[in-house]
Amino acid sequence: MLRAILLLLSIAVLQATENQSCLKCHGMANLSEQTGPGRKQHSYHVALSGFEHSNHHSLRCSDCHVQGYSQYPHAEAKTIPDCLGCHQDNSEFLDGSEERTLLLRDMKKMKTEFEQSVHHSALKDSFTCVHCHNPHRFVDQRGKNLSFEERIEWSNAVCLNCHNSEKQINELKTKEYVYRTPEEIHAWLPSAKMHWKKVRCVDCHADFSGMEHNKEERFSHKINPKEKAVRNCNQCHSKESILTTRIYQMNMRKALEEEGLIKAFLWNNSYVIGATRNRWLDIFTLMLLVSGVGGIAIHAYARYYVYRKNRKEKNNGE
Amino acid sequence: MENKHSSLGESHLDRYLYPLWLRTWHWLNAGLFLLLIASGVSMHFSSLEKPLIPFEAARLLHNISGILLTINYAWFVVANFVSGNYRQYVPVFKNIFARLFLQARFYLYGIFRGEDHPFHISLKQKFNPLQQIAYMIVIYYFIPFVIGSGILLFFPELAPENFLGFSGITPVAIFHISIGYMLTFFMVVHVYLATHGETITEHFHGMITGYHSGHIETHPQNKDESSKEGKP
Repeated sequence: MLRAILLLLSIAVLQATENQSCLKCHGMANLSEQTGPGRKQHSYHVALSGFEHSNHHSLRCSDCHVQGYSQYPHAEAKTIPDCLGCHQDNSEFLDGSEERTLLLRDMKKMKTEFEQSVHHSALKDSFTCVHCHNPHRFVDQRGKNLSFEERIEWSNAVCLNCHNSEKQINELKTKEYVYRTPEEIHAWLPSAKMHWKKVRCVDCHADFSGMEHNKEERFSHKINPKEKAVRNCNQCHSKESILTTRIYQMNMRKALEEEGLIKAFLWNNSYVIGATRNRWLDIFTLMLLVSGVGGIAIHAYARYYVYRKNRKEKNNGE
Repeated sequence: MENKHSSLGESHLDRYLYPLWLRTWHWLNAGLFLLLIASGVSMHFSSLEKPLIPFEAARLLHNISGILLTINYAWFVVANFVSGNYRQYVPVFKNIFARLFLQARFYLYGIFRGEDHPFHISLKQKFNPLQQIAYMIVIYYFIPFVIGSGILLFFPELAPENFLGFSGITPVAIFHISIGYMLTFFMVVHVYLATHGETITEHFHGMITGYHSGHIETHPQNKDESSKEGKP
């Protein structure tokens, strides 16, 4: 027992010592250089506060930055950290738990999707997992008890981290790409900010084909080119709403689990015009209208009948 | 308007029940109701395959019609107050049930027996007791409610974040739709009851020209205390 504790303590001390050594330079906020084609400014800063709270906080820098980092300046031929080096079946980091297995299954699917995404087709190998999921501060929020809006905010923050920042985009963009803010791009969308609070970017900008029957949390890494983004309001605002197979499927399942059938179906916690309807209200109104119009038809016919009868009697009298 | 027609004689003046501002408001309101119902139904029962009106167009139509309806209603409230017409919408509760019964009995029975209308139209009392109650609810409750909830849906960020554990927009939307349904039902019944003049078109004609062509009480009985009030 004592040996195990000592071993763990020494690993922690070694990790802390090594990471501190790296952070002596990489902890500086202004550590950056102009590099690559176009001499774009690239930051090498790693915020300790973010790293300490990330999913990777227990790792040593050298677990990912394997070769070419031990001396300064770092070697030109240093290895590029590879996420799938760990996130794969035979990784020494995986403990075989259910959560890990799910993570692995997701990773394989994500890789295939990502390779079909506009990010990959436009930027090839210069765009990797880390551009969206900064490993120095990435926190997996799945399984956490977040509200619906918090889940959406967390998901959209991944996209907005770059798309809200011209500086970030300029680090990656191709020559053809002209930066516009999300507000400018979505000027056509009514109540754009309201939409962003209620749907994820990927719900309109990713390809979910073939995922209709997937009961797991809905996400696709196959980000479409802008021409393929959802622009037809009816695609979401209709009974056949695509949202019911995307984020709102998860929302409804969560509501069913936590709030019960009646509340979930009667009220639909999130209102989407055209997609979420109160069936009972519609049925009641339809019955009211049908009985009202039916009553009017009977009344009108009775009036007509009496009118004809009276006219006949009047004619006969004359 | 009344002064303009004073030269036509007392009987013409007595028959001029619906001044121009009222008729303009009424028909504009009716037209906007139809547009709001069509666009509202189209959005609520929106379909990808067969939309009644494409969603984007329906939304625009609903918003513009809703804004115009709000302006029209604000105009009505001011003109209604200034002209004193608001008194027409204040029901007299004295013997209300007996008078409501009389009116309902006429619609359900008397009309088929050739009986006379129990309450005749006059300059000071244009509505029968059923109309008074229904119009008061519609004009002073339903329309402001549907406008208020419509404004909240127009600016969804103004809606409460959370209402009794539900997302704030949901109860507002359900309330808006419920009132919209009731106003639709009212409109159907209203149009039908408008055929209950001495001729089928009498009331429609009156609301176009301003003049009531059927029987009129120039000296109405004190069926209604509101008739003691000043000129409408």
